[in-house]
Amino acid sequence: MKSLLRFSIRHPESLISGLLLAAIAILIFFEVFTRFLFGHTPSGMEEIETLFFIWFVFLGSVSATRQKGHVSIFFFVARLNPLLRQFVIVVADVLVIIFLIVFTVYGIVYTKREMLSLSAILEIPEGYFALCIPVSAFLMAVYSFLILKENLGKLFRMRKENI
Amino acid sequence: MNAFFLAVLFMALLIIGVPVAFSLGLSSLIYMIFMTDISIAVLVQRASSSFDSMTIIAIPLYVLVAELMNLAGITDRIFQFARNLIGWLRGGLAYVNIVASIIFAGMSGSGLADIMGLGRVEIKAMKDAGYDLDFSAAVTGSSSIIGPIIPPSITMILYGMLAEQSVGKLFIAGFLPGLIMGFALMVLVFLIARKRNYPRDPFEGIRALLKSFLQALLPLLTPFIILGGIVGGIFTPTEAAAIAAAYAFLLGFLIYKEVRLRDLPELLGKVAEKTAAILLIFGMASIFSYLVTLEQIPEMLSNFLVTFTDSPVVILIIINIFLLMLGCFLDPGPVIIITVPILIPLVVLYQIDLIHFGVIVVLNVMVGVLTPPMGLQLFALTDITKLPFDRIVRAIIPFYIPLLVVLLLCTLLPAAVMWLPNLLMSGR
Repeated sequence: MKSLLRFSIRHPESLISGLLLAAIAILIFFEVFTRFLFGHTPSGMEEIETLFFIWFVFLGSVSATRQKGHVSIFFFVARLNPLLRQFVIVVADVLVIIFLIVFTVYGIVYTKREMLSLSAILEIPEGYFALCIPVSAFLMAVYSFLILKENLGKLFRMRKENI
Repeated sequence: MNAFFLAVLFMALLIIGVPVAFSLGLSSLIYMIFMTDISIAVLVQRASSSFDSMTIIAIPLYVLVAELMNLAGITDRIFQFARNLIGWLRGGLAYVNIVASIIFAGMSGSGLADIMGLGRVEIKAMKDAGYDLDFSAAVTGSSSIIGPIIPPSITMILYGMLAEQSVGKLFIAGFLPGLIMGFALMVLVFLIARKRNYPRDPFEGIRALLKSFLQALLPLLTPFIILGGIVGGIFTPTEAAAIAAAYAFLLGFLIYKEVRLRDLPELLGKVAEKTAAILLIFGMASIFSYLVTLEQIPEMLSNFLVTFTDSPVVILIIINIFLLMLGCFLDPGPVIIITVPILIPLVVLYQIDLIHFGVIVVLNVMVGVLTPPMGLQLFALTDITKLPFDRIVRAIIPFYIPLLVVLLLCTLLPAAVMWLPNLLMSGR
């Protein structure tokens, strides 16, 4: 129980996205089960599964940002001299943050617009689907900023030590 | 010229180490601002709507199946069964390694899950039995790529989504090439084992074989549940993934009692983290692909290549070389997500079957995970064996021969790929 609590505090996004995945699996299983039993599935299940899935993807991406788990090519950067390498890493971090800020801002605009339309079956505001974008882009920007801070500190230390 | 700017921008961001997902998004954003009148809101809309599909949900579910199988100790049972079945041959544990990977491939769609679960067991057993660590790593790595070729397969789901092809048909199409690849690897193992006089296990007898078979029987049913359901038209590939996940959980929790409820949040979080990174690339690539299509890049590429050759085989070989080169630097998911939308119009122009092409793409990207400098499987092997990266690369070089031979065979002989789906799923 202690380890579960520790995991929940340390990795809240991982925990939520993981639980969303479990919920999706259970819902799909239930869908198949009811189809076998009653010949049809409760309507709107796919909408709930899609809603959970989009939140799963974007919250999972936040977790990947935090763990530096996004796929990137480090082959060329690794061949630079240490100081230049660290500088390039910082530049890449800054670019990612700029992109995520734009994504957050336009994500809010998009979500506001989507709140006005409803999903086809359950009539859930489409904005609930879109909301995951500004929320996760903002969280990714925050974590990327922390990574940038760490990398900048390293760059300054390297300059001081003249590596 | 505009298309050139987009490509250069994307490459430049990749080279300076910006993650693939953000390179796709950022290059699209800059391009949209400076080169088009398209509203930036489209960027967000595209990223969001790309997940509005039930098929793509299968990807994290198949990763979950593999993780549950590993946690439930199912990999040990499969390994023990394969060992009793074939371990008595000279170099038996190397064959066991390949056979176990083929069996595991029918349950998991991920090559990395094969290495991290089954691979650890296989390498330890081979090391204890006196095999060279380099050779053990090479067999484990090369056989692990069968995982995403034999169904279910995460890479095939990605391809199916992008090329708008039946995932079920792609799954069936991968079956035979996966088996041929396993057989080709066994031929190489046969030659090496004889030359190096590798040991063999004593034959434990029919009773031991039967016992290990019964112990592995329930996990061995998983491929039949998945494939039987899909081929029989009972489940969609996504539903099959959810059923397989439930089955793996029940096996681990109720029958083998290796899975504890308290392990689940961490396991689910791990799956989320692993798959979300790839799925985010998929979302960002939908924006990039939109711009690529808008700029008619696939048409330009087709027109350019048509002037060189009108032979589909030559085009496929050029694509093979291109994908193998790309695979040296990028993981399978990103390679498929970036290249397939660009290549599809070209392949259609040359009247190449899109299911056949899908299997060729998957074979290429899977060989790519074994090629330096950025082979995903090579890094996993370094982590498990603690051998230096270059030693693993050197050991794996002979294994490229059977893998490339199978790739060439499937390229030149479409029947090797298409025979089974045409037999089982014609008209679907």
